[in-house]
Amino acid sequence: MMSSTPFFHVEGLEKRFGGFRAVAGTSFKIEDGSITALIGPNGAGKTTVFNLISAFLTLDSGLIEFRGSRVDGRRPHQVSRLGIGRTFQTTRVLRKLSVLDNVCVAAQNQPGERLRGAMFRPRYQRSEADVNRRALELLDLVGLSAMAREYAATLSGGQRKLLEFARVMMQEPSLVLLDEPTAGVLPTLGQTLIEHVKTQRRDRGTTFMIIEHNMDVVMSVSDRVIVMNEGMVIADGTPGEIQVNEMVIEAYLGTHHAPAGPAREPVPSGPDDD
Amino acid sequence: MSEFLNPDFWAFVLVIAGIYSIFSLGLQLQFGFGGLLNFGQVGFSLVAAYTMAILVARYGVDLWLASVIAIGFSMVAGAVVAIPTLRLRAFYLGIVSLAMSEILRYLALNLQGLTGGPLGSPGINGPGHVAQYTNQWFLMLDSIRERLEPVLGAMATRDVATLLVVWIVAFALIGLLEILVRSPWGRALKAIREDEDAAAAMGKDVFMFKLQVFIVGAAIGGLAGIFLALQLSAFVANDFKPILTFYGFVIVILAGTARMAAVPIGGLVFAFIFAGTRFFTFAPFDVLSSAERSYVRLILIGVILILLMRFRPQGLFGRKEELML
Amino acid sequence: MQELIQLLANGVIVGSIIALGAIGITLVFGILDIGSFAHGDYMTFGAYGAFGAIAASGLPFPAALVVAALATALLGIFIDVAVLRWFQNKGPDSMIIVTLGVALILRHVIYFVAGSAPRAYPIDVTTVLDLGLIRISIVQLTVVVAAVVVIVITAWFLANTSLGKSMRAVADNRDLAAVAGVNIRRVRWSTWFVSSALAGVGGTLLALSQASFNPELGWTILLMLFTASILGGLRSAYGTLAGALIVGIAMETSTWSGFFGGLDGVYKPIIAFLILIGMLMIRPQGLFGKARLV
Repeated sequence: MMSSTPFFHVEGLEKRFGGFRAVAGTSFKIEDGSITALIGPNGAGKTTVFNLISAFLTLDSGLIEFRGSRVDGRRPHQVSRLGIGRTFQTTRVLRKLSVLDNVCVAAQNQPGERLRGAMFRPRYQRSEADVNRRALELLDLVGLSAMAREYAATLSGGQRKLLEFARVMMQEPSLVLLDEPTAGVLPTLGQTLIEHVKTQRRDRGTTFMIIEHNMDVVMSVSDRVIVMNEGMVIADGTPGEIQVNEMVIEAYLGTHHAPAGPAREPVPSGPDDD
Repeated sequence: MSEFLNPDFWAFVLVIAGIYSIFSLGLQLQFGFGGLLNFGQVGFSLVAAYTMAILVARYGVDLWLASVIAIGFSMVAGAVVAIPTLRLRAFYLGIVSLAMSEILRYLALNLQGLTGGPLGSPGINGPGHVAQYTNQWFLMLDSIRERLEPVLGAMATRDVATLLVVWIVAFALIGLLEILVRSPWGRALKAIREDEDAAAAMGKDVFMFKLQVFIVGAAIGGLAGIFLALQLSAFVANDFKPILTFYGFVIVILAGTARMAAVPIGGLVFAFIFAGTRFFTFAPFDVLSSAERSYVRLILIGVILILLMRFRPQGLFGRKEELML
Repeated sequence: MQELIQLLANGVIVGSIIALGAIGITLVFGILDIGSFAHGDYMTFGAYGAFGAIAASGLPFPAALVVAALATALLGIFIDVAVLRWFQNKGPDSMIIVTLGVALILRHVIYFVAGSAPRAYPIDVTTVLDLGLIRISIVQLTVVVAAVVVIVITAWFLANTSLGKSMRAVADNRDLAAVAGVNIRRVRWSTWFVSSALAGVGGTLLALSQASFNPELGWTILLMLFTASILGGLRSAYGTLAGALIVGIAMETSTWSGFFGGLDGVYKPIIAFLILIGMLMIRPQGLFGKARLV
């Protein structure tokens, strides 16, 4: 039966930084089980949209709805608990934790994570064993199980992207926001990561939204492409439609002539060149 | 120098080391694991010490019950400090906790009707009577001493009994805290310590974790305050100056941040530095008066702290990879 | 009514002393990103510097004030170069703990050198001017005049000199200022110079305004400095000035008999603490929000 409420949608998102409209009335819908690419030139507002959805930034106006319930107005951990996971443009692995702990810590509803539960190991032992097993499976999947006991600080940039992917999948989210998963990663690793995205969608039905600059990746992985420019959605369609859309081509070519402008967005994900 | 060979003196040093270790375990949890700068730990000790002493001396409450209630009061004081400041930068928590501990000391000095004011704990029941809260404690120490006598002979003193009690509690506390920090709760805490945003993106309620950590740490500060009060037999508000919190930080940094089990070693090293400098009564140090020696001692402790932070920020036992400072 | 006006006047006097210390905290925080817990003890250092100058060479008080300012300014730069610089890139937690260590060392060095006995400047503190509505002592007048002069000089320096402008640029945006060619080291030193000199003057005036002082002088006022600084948003020198006056007036007028019969004087520090907590709960960004004047 078709539900009348969309799986995920945003309406009229607005975010200003001083006088700069980073996101200027953005609206879109995401289908359950789809892979959507969010593309656009630098400073188009893509990462800001992610930060608004995950509540790292607060909306100036607009609404965000996920499976019929409001997302906006919540705090980041509450959004995460609704089943919306995200990664960061500059990876944020926990360097002082082991690779395995990086994944384990993302487990949801772990009874040992409550102060009272934590005092009695038997209360959480079973669920913890389960968490460990699942974490190792995920590390196996992304090819990091050999390094499970190392500090995450020892990982290369590409490996960190893989670890972050394993970590977000550990949350068993229904919707995953991936911020430039292949940027700064060896092409072969990037390709592997994209295969994992497809596998997860197939096996778990996870929905993905991906900010991506590599057009080959965009075209090969996504069912749908949303194009942003200057804070607005300028095109929304299948990869085939987008490839021939004139506005998109102009937006991309136009950036070569545009002034550097206030492209920096004060997002909490550190140095950012969205 | 005769004191140097006196076992009672060293028993006393070990008791102090144990109490400071307990005190610092709270700071270790807050700072080493939670990243929370609590400069007012001594305030929570003060709250518990006074609550316990007033309940026992004025209302005749059982010492153990009074201690539990007193620790509860410390936790409430912890929440008062934490709730307005935990969402802000570490700096604000430092200011507010320090200010709170000074305000509490100031109140204790001035609210004579409640605390005995400048008379300290003996004045809790008003001037004229000497209020006491140690009867039950001494009874317990004496019964321990009697049981130790067959083994230790003349060495079995109240101080040795105190030493035993304090260190048993300290190790039990370390055991409990080790269980906590090795649990999934502790793992989430480490994640928050390193990257709050990443932890929040994983669904961790950062504020809640920090609040729990702060309140548990304040409770431990309260426990240390009760021991301090019992060890002193009678106390005044100025026994709870901010310098104690500072000693706690020296101990935590000596032990290494996020090293729970190393805290007693930090406590011992500190107590020996602290007590050892008492014996600097020979030339050339004998030109100094005892007040001057105490200033030099505090200057040295400050210098040691800064040098440690500069050259060995992981402490004597910390791991560089987990260095949080 | 006359009582209230008198208390308001006292509040302005207390507030202007707090301002001298708090503006330094604000400058150091805003420009160098250091939350200094040693600033109160810098004030103590200034007070003892002036005391030493008067005792050693019989300088008149205004000259001793200048000596205190310069000595404290050099102390501020010295401590930055000798200690704080090591910790600049080690995260704010280390820096805060280290400033607390510096405070401890400095305070006990002062104890060691000057002793714990209460001191007082050899100045007649008893002369009182009757201005009709309020009575103000010569000492209080000196304090207000000196504080106003120093604050005006500081404001002029920040607004009009190239160094002052560089400092404000760094406070606004460090990276941008560095890119724009601001000499960061020069800014660093001048920030310590200005904020420590202010502390030196403030400490001396604080000592003067009390009948006597000891080495705990500045440490006991630290809470009020931070409260004023936070009221002003921690980054605005003018906001801090306003915050200091608010703290001073609130503390003094709390004893007004029209205010629940007047609180006992011993509760004054608690008033400052309540303002601090209330402010952090309601408007942690300070009274004047994001307005960044410095």
